[in-house]
Amino acid sequence: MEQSYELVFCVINAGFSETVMTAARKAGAGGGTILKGRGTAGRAAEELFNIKIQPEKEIVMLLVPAEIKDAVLRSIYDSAGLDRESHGIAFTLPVERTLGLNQAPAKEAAPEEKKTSKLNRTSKNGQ
Amino acid sequence: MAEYAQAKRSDLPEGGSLSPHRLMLLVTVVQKGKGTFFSDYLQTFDANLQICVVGTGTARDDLVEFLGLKDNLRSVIFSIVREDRLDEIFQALEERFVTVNRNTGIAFTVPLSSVIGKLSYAFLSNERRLVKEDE
Repeated sequence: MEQSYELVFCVINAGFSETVMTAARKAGAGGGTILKGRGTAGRAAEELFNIKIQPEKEIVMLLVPAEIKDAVLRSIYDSAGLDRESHGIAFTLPVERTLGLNQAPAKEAAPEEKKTSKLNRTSKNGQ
Repeated sequence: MAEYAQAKRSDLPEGGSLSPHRLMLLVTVVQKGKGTFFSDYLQTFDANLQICVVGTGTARDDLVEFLGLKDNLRSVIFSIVREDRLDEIFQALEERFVTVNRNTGIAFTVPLSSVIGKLSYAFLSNERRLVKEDE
């Protein structure tokens, strides 16, 4: 059966990407990619939700197997959610095709799956 | 306004889409410095809109890190591509990852749920037939 993946997007204040990665790894995620960005939130929304938006942001993109998506999100929320210093917002997007991934994350990979080529291409996931 | 939206929605074919081709967001992560090569290459597959940014990889390789050889800067390319071209794009990327990118690199697609504007759609899908000569 083909492994299906989800893309976890996590937007956090600059300097907290390691917090997110630690939390995600704890839930079984592998590596990720960090992008730098600049946040823009309306002043009215900031006051309404009592959230101070720090302009410098980091975006952590993690490709995780669909079955651990909820655990990864929960772990990120617990250690880097909106009520933390990192003011993290995390969401997931459906991934249909992947290329260049190991078939399972390091933590949970079965021995035979680890031997598969890095360039295994999965077909449309879930189809 | 709501009635108009409802009427237009009812005009949709069974698949729920008026566009001839489904669009996908293709994310390609390669070594820093290879971004221009890969974005130029992807452009040959009708990818008209591409955004290339620098990112940092977080994959762990303790020995490499210990030796100070860690090169974790990445080029991340966001491209909009047509779903019907994905087979050839993935095949081409797979080959180029081996020959150009030291057997590394990942790519994945996320579906776009909607696009507004015929011209925007024509641009994103490189569907020149949708653009009249006088437009």
